[in-house]
Amino acid sequence: MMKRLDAPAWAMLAPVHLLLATVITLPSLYVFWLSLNESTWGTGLSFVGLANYREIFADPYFWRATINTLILVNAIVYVEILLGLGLALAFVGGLPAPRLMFAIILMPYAVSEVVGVLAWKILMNPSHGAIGRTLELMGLGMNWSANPTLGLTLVGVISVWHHLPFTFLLLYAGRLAIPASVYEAARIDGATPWQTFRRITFPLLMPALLITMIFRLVFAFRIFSEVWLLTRGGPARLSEVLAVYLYTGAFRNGEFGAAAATGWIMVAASLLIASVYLYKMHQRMASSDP
Amino acid sequence: MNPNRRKATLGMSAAAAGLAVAPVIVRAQETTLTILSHKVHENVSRGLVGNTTGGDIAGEWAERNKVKLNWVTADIDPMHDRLMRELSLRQTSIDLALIINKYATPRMSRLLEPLDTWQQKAPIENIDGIPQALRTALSADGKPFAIPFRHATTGLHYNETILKERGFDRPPQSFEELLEYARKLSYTRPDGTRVSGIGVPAGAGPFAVLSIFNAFGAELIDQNLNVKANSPAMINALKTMNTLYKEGVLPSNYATLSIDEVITGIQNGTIAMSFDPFARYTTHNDPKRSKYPGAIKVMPIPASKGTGREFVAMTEIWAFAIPRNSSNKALAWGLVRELSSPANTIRAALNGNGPVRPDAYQDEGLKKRLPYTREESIAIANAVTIPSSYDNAARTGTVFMEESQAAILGLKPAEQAAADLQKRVAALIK
Repeated sequence: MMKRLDAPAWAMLAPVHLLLATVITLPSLYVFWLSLNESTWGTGLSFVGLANYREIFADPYFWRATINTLILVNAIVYVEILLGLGLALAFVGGLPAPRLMFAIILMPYAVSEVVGVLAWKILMNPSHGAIGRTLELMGLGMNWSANPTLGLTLVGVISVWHHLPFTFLLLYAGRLAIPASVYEAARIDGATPWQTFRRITFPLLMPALLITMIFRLVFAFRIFSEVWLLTRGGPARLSEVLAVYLYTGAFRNGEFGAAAATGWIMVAASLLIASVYLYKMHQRMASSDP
Repeated sequence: MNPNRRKATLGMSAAAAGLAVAPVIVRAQETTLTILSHKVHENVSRGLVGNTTGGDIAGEWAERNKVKLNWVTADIDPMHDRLMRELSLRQTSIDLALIINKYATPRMSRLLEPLDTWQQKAPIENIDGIPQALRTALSADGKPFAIPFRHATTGLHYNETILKERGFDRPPQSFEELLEYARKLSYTRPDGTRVSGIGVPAGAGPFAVLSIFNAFGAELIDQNLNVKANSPAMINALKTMNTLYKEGVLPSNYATLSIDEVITGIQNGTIAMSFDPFARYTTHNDPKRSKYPGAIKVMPIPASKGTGREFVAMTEIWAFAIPRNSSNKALAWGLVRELSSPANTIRAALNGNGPVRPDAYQDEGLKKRLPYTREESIAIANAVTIPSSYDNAARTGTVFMEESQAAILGLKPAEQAAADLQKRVAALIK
């Protein structure tokens, strides 16, 4: 059972709560208030109640952006978890030149997101990009700028490339935290590699997996740079995601109320998705309490 | 120490201290004038690009008036985004801004200083030398809110070397001929380079795309805000562009082509002809960057025979505007007057600016420096702007891009795209 906090403990915690309230809670509440108003450049707020939410839910472009976001986020996160897990296990199992391999894997994370996406865009140019042109010559042409499915696939590939180091690091650290003695016992009991993975690695890595999943789902839900720099949501808004929908609404069309409502819908949706994993984590923590 | 020597030492120390402090005092007396613009405006006002001869017009004015100029530059969309935020504040740190006409909506004009009283108090020299149509486009309720400074007018850029390689010894004379050329100019060169006949920065906005559509005789909105999207000319334009895309005349990444990509394509010979502002001529022929320096020419865009016109062009106007919430309006107006004078219009043109005073094209120095002055003046005489006298102007551009891309890439039949365009744009203007 958790100990109740006394006054000095509250006093020591107060600064961080004050900071969080100032930079997160209050702006969030203001954005919520904004979402209930109509507002544009140089004008005051005019209260419209839930009209912005109704308008967004009636907009087919919002639903298309939502579906694109959900498909993209799930694809990115699960592919990343699988690759990150595979790499973490490969490192623990032993790889040649591990330090060099480690540096290579971490490298994309050191590249600025904008620079990374633009480099990919040039490389994948079907007319003169090193990869795009080669694929064309091999008969495997991938015209991602004309086909929204291919465009979103490329967005996913770039996102996985860029964020894999983060996923890998979390899972690798989680795997290193599993005591070697457990594996030693499994080996003595004659467990096969698959049994070892299924009965030991996977269950003991579950907290790290859940944390990684929550982080990546929440981060990936805000995906913007990759789509904006690559396709701008095109062709014909078919590859638009929620963050691009919000951005164009706010900063191209000057509809701050509707954009604020989109922002709150995104927060609610990512909380809803993350809550499944948070609940699982809470259950595990509760069951491991003495 | 000898008293005289001590005096001399003290005197020298005081003088040295005075010298050290002097710049601080001078600096303290200087007023800072903050200008928000695209980088190109700083370049042409200050002569920052190599091989230009107009000199530092803004710098000289700043020195005479003891003003420190603080240029804040950004790309077109982020720059206007910043400006709108600044205009929404109680007071802004931006004293002068350069706005592009497509963003000059009533919403923006309400937040800008009306300039008629300033013009009465301290007039711009021979303001009538700037065409009335340009000034009217930047007026609200009969009062100017911005003073035109630069135009960007589209022309047809073509690579003479590639044209000759395909057996053409002159540029196309009509739009029909242009399409015929474009088909023949789409080929693979002996060195393996794939050439696209036409390049247009379709990913950057509607401006250049609408220039091509104009050549077909198609118009999105006329100057009286009548929507004309569902016309036979528009459907023909969408259908033909779709055919050109399928034939490989337009690059396969048509929908995302940026301005820089089209420039690079022209410079390295992967695009034979492009629709872009005349001012790109210098960049296209830059010996340091272009594989064809001197071989990239520019001319007015020939119109389709059925349109009854010889040439077509779209033009964008950049103009000086003073925020209503600025605290340095008199000084800002001083710089506007300086940069808008007839003499300085020519100097800025020598620095690479598109002059808004037609008389500037008669200047011998400019004619010698820019070989396309005659062609550009023809284009301007035929140019139209995208109307922006309604708040949803930017959104109209987005809708046009969406529907035209859908038809050109074959995602939607041309007839349906034109009908949808008509309906959606009409709703935005209403």
